[in-house]
Amino acid sequence: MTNSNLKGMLSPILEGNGVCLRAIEEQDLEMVRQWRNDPKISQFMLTQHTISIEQQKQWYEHIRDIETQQHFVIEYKQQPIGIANIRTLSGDQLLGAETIEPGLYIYDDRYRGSFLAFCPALTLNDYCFDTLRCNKIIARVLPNNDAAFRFNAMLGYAEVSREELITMELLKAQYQLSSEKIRKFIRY
Amino acid sequence: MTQNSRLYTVFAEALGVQIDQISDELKYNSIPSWDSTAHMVLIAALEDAYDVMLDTDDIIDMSSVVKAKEILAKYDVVV
Repeated sequence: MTNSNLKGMLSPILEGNGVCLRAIEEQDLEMVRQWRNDPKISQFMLTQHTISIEQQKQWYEHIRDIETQQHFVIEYKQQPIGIANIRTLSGDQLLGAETIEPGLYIYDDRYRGSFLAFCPALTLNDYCFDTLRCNKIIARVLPNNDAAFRFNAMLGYAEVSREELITMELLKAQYQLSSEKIRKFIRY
Repeated sequence: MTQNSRLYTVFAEALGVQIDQISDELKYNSIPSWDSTAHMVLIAALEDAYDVMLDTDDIIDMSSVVKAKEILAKYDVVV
């Protein structure tokens, strides 16, 4: 099976919890590049160099047909407000992977620091556990990113190591328990 | 306790700051402790304190103390 066929088995649109996550398209690239280069976002990324237009195009060419990563624009009320992604660290395809690493950020200042960030996180985690059928999801957080650490802890992640990065992991059973207290505020 | 000071107390406890740091102008991202997790704790505390259940869009729109007053007023809460 080709990579393109495998990619076709993944959902290009995830809807739920009041938000829509749609696959990044070519026309999103400049917006995404500017968001990613903004210090308010890049300061919490694992790599912090400024991304050029050419590098962004190369990145898109790389990710659009591979089955080990998916990248989404988060939309709320039909407006793009942030970015979400999932990837395997093992190099295995996402579908059926043992472990998946999700990530997201909210760019729109109207919603940064609000409850809204939990909505795409739940949609993404549900997709990982229920559709892609992974057993565990992990997060790697910079030690100075207290908000991300607290956010992950609320979702049920447990810290498993603390070195240059804090590694946290989340099993499905714990996620189901922890997410209940978050879902009760989602009343759509 | 006045209504205003009651609201300020709820905000201070939920955000983990001193009450003198709370003002009507306080909003998202103006202090490090107001992050997404604190916002959820804040909403739970407001719903408990004023015995209301907020719509999700109102929860997301509650971006400042003064905005909280406006939204709570929609639920017949006088602050």
